[in-house]
Amino acid sequence: MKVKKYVSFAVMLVIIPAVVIGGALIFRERQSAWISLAVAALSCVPVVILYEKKETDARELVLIAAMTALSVVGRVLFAPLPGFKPVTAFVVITAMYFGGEAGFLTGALTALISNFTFGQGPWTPFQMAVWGLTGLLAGVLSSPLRRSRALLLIYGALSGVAFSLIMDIWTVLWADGYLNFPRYAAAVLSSLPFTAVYAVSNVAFLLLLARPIGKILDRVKTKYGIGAAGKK
Amino acid sequence: MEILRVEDITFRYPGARSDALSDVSFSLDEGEFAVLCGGTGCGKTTLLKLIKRELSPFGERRGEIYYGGVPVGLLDCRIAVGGIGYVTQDPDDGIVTDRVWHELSFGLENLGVPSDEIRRRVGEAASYFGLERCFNSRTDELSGGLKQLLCLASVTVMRPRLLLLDEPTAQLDPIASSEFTAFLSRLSRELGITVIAAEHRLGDILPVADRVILMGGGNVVFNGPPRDLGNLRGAEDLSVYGALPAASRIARALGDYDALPLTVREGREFLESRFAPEAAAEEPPYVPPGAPAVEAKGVSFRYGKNDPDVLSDLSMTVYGGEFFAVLGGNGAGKTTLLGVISGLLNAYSGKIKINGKNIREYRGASLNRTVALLPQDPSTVFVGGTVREDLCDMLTSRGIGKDEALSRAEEAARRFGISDLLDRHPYDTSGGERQKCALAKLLLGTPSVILLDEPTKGLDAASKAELAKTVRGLTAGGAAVIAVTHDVEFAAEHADRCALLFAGGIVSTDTPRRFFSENSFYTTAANRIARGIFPGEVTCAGVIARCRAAEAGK
Amino acid sequence: MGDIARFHPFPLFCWFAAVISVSVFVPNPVIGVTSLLGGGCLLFVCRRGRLRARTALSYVLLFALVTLTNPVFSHGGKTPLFFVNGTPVTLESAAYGAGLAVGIVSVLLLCACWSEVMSDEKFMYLFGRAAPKLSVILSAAQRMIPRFLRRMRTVNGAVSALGARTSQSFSDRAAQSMKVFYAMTAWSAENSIETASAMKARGYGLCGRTSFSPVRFRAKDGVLLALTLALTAVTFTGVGTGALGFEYYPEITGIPSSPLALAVYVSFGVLSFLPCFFRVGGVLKWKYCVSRI
Repeated sequence: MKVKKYVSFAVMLVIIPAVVIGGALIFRERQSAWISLAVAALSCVPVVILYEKKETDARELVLIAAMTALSVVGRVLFAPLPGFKPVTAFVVITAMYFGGEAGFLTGALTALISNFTFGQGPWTPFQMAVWGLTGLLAGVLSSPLRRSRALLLIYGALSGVAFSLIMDIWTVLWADGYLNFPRYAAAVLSSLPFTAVYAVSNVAFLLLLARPIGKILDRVKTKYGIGAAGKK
Repeated sequence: MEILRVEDITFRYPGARSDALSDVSFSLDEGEFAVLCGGTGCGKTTLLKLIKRELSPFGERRGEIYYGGVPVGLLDCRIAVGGIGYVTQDPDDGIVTDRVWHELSFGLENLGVPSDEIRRRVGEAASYFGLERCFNSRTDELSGGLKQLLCLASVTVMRPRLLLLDEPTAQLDPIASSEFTAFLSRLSRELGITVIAAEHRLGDILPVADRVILMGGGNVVFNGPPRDLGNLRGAEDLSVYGALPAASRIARALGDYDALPLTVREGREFLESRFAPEAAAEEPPYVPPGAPAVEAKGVSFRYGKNDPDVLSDLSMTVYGGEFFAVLGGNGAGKTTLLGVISGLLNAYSGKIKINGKNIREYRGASLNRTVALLPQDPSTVFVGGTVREDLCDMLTSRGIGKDEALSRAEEAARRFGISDLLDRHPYDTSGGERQKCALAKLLLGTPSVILLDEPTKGLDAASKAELAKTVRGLTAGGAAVIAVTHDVEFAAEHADRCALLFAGGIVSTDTPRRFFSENSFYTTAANRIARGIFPGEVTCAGVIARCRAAEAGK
Repeated sequence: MGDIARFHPFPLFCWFAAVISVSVFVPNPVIGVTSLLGGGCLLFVCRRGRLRARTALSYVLLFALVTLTNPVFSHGGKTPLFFVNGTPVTLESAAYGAGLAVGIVSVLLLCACWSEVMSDEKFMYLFGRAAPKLSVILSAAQRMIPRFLRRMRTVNGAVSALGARTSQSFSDRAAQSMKVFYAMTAWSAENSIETASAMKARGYGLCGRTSFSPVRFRAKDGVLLALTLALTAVTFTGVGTGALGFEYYPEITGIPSSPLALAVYVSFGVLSFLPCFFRVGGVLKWKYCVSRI
């Protein structure tokens, strides 16, 4: 067990910075793009390690898997409408009821699994990170989000906008090696309809899903006495 | 050697008014094959879960359970997990992972078995259970029978000494179910694993069992070899009696109480030794009770342009006031037939008329106001948070006001005897109750054609009898009821006419007596037992009546 | 897929990581074209020659789009081709666009190959050991998805057959879909509990969990891994020392052709086509063996 612990520390403290810095030295001309990709991919590591260390009930694990599966199903079902996807709603709801790490995992795994269908690419780590962080933050804010519906909807809309803006940053960094502002503006403009639809769909799905799914999760939690993870 | 001893177990669920189990005691020797039976709610599942420590429900508990001489609560956790295996009713719930090989190795990984040993044990189990061909498949692509076999294999691979199975064949069709039972007996014979299987249908399992443990009202009513069931008196209540194999039922009804016959062959010997062959009784020609309700002519259907026909040139007529049973093997297209009649699927050629009107002429939801379908899994019709909500939803979607809907829903609940379930979540009900709730919901729409998909799946004898009563009530009111089913016994006992669906078409239609007595494979056990002695008898009740008449004549 | 998908996940992952990162992060035209050809060839092999015209056309369109729009965003460069509204459209920015387009298309091709070769199972193998809980969630979720989709269809059929819908209008259909979705969510939450007890019954949560996979590391995998690592090391050395430096702005520099640069071109060329070589080798060996029998 001890060896394992040291290995995970080594990963955290040595390998991650080494990969980031080494890559930055090798790919000098695309340094910023490399760093942003590495940071996106590696931001998942600490959350995953924290979650692995935490004592969790098998039931909570399976419920997170179920929420992930539902959000993938949602993304697949709404695939014909670009930008219209219920992923954020599921991620935020999971985070509200099972805590930030659970929300993070739901988001990151939804991106990963659904991209087995939609196609993997350099965008996968970004989607994982952004959806994951949406969940992590929602977990931190879980008590105000549960109290105020308006706040929840605003959070949904903002996370939709943030998702697009961050994805566009990556596009520009990759294309130009630096933040080429005209290209960024063009990317943001051209993805505006997508962003708008996405933000609206987040609000719509949260409006439709938050209460009934919350009720279902509450029911299951009380019926089977699953720990009040939402408090953390 | 004794492997399991249950000593004076009494158990009460929190908040319950009575004990789920009271003073249950029995013991099993290593290698024994025991069948645990009794009606729904007799405490079978509770007992099994108490033996499997990881699944023990919360509640008040007295008494002790010993596994290999050690109280279950004090067992080392690896022994408790690996030594006692548990298989649930629905294989879909038991499967955890997405690949067959991973499912097989899952338990071993949890036990911390080294990778090389897992490789060997998983390989061995896959070849013993015949799962090599699907070793790399996704678990979701397997058939129901294979799924349950996988559940059994993935428990057995942990080398348990005791296997607990909670109605393992309830969700399987008859062929898969007898294959599964055969496998179970092979495990007990060849590997010496002790087995306790809870079962509703005893026809397949009783002949291979060493022991029957019969429960009623939380007590052990009977505990002994199957043939001694004949000595059991005062247990004529349906839950046990109705579940016995046909041979045993006939023998018991005639008052012969020692060495109960269990198989068809023993049943034949029993009848042959007592009765002389008779001629078939005359049966009057069938008179339809009403006007044609469903007429299908030359109906063909396929799922995709390049797929084979599932239904091809199918024609049939079902009359109002008639209970019509469609029988057929797996994949014969039974569920598809119901889909086509209910308008969920569109036939690419042919004509279907409901109450004389072509289904294409029904607009909007009006077809489904006339034709209602109860799917194989009754829980699929529930969309509300409570049964009451669901029943009301059915009425409000038809434009009925909230208050009236509420009172009508309550009235319907009284009629179906589900008033005390109204405030429960539909999923918190037992299989039989769930079906009643689903039927209640369905019938609130007052359909005149009712389609039932495998209505007896997973039901015990008492629930089947209640279902038959409900169906009788419907046909008496002039509705046409069409059931597709594997359950030949149910069809023989209750249907007005039976039809065989084969290769996409109806190949024969007749009254149950004529239909089954002309079949030699696809027929009831009672018919096989009585063939050549009392020809034309297809139900246990029929055979028993003829036996009594013959005895009186002597 | 054939032989390539049968490699051990680890060397495959290393190969993809090396080739994709070089094509993404090294803006050298020779590297770009090499990985474009390598990726295209591999995709062709992976799909056994079945490359749909639509897919190919979409790559061509993307290529044209990126090349033509780049001058809109950057006006650097010394050689104006012509002026639009007083702003110059330069040769350099058009060339940059073409180089970028080569990079994007080659990455897309390589990612398509990744999807063909690196199945979810391989992915699980790579990362499952490091994160056992995550891999259980991943596996359970993968198992649930087809089940949920099927359940959704069944419930939808069941509810439709009850005549729950009053009309065929969009709002009615949407309302029904929502109802079905809630019902499925409730059902899935309920089933999760059942699945969790099945997991516990089989000992999930005991300490000292091991991890098993039917995948094995064969000699062939070792060869692929060793070659990948060696060729990647040469490539990275060249890239890291700046031997492949190539500038579009303010003026297109000459393509680097120092000995080290040439060595990198060769080694990256071999690297890009490595899986294809293995595939071709396998086919030849098979033919040779068959002809001898």
